[in-house]
Amino acid sequence: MKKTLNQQGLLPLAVLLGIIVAASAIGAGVYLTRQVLAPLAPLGSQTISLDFLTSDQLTLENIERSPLLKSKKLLPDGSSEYLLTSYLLGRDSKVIAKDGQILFRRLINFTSDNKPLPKFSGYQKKLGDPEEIITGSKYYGYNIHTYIYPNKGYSLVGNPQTDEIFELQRFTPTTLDDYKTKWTEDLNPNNFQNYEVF
Amino acid sequence: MIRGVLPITVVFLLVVAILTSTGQIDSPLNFFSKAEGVPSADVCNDKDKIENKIDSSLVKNPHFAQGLSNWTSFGMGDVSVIDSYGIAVPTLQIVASGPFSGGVYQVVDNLKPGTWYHAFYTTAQDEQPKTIPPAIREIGVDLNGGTNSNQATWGARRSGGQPDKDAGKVGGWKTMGNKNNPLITFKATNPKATIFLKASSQSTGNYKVWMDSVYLGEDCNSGVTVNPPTIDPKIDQPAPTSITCGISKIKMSITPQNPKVGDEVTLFLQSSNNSEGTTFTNKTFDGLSNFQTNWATEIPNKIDPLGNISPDVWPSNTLYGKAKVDKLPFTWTHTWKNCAANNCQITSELCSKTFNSQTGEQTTPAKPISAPTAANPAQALKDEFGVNLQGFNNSQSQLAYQTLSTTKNTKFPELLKSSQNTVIIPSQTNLSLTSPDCKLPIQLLLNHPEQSFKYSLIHELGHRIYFCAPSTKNNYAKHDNVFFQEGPVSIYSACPPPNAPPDWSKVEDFAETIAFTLIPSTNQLITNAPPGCNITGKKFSDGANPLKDNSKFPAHFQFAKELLKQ
Repeated sequence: MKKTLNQQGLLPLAVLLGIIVAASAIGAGVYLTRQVLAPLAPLGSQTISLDFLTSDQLTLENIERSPLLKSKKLLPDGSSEYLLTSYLLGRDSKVIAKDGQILFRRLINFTSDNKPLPKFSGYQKKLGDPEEIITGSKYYGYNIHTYIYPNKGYSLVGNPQTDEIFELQRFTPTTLDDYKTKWTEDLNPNNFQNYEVF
Repeated sequence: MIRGVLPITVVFLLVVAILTSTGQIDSPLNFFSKAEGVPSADVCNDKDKIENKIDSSLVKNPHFAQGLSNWTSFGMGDVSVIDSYGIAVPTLQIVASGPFSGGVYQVVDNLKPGTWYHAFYTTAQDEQPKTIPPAIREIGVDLNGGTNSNQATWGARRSGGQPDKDAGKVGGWKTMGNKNNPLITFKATNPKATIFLKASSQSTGNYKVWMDSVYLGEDCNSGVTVNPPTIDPKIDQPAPTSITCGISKIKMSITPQNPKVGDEVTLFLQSSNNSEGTTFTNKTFDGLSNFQTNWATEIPNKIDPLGNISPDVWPSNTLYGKAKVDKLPFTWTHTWKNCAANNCQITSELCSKTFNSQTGEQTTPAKPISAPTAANPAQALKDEFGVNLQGFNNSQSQLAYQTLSTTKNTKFPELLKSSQNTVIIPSQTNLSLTSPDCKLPIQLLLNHPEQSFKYSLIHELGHRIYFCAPSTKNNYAKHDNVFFQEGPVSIYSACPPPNAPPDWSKVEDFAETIAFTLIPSTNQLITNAPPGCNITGKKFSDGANPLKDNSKFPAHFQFAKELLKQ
């Protein structure tokens, strides 16, 4: 006849073990939830800076631990797309990585405190003239420029009338053709340069 | 009848001939359509007296044949009284830029106290631009021979305002058509009385007014058909203030009517029905103390264009306060500014009225506080708003200036100035256009009706702000978010034309939001969706102003409020 755990005097030990396992599971769950499904910061109360996205020291670990991370998804080519909350409700900041390497990132410059945006002229001093300027952005509008520095791994999206840069993109330095092949999501070269609204 | 009318007709035909030949009016037909009726003199059905009627007028120099002899001019605003207009045909001409009020008066003697009299004159006028209402022409009397036009009693019938459709025969005097010449009927109380002829307008524009053939004589029907204004002791109609205080009519009164020192008096302030938008600015007392009021809670709140509850904006109402009488006589002065309906930013005058416990009400002439017109509107637009209007005539420039003046207490002028030297030229097409290239001028369509012109001006300038002002000024990102949340606010912005850029709706939404906020009285200009654009169930589908309040698009409403008043 088998003895029960209680009869063997092991029940308290089993209960303790169960508690430890359960606590660990809950803790891990909370950790994972925080890391992967970071709660959205409410509009207007966004105080966590996205500046780290521009850092040369940016790592995937930084991204995955960011409280601004909204989602992560696997793309058909095997790369991962991370979307991070930005101040714009309609456009997230974004990182694309593959094999542990960050290939592309975009940072929305608008902030809830309406800080002045960086100027194209400032970038121009550092980066020189862009290799190409494309007029027309799917998101920002037909009059918006994308200034492309493919071999330096930068592109800038902004309003040429006000010299403001709305969005900064960084990517692995490449050729102009390669850039146009890979990172065209927002480019909308159009014939609207002279379009006048009424 | 014929003998009586003939001289007047001849006079007017001569005036018309001269005016036509000098280009003052474009055709005799137009002149007579503005003359609003030359009196046909068949007074008392006594044809024997008719021929002498004008010539026997109790006023001297009734045709102004001797210029302004026996007449004294008065006026407020930019007004000139010119005698003996014309070479062969003398008449009185008033040339003015509105808002204005002015005319002439004459003290007459030898009236019979207790006898009814009536007085009238013929008149014509011309207004520029044609969109403004005709000048109001009135005749008034001071039964004591006083010479202050503000204290005159004005006739029940006037020209240029509401036509008196019942005045086919008034005071025994036949009139022509529904619009009649100014007329007053009164019972003399003294041998002396003063007759006032006055023209006025609250509109911005240029006027010419002609007056002639001033008749004063006994009223054969003894005032049976037209009585002088009566005062209902219970209702106590508000007395008109200075006419230059616009539509406001304020009546001040107290209870008890003959207080003693130490008494508590109740002060009543009543505005006429049409003084909507009158805004209290100040009050002063001399001889009263311990003033207490609950006006702030009693005044029905009105909403200003930016949606703020404005307790100082009040419609027709009886307001009151209580105070203790320290000395007699005491005075109470109430000061207010006039506002257009639902828009207290269109203010032109500061009006003031004083109640003296011994002598009653006195009106202080209005003082301009923020002139809606400018001597050089194009320059004023440049100086005050950074807007360079090129190729528009003076009245269009004035309208543009007046429109932008209504935004002065908002951040709109500051936004414009941050939008890079805005140039506006007449449109070369059938559309008003704004380029995203800030170096190119806005093209504004000229032949809009007035309200559409104002709306289009603000709308296009809204585009300019969207394209050309820094994002810290135009709150670009915030608008992006409210558009993301609520979508477009109007039929126009929701229905892009064929081949429009993909961000059409967002761009138009910004301009529409600004225009609907700054011109709350406007409805949507486009009220029918083009084929292929389904607006069923949309909050803007009724064609009304979608931002009149915050019920339809609260995020847009709040955004506009912050943008324009931040």
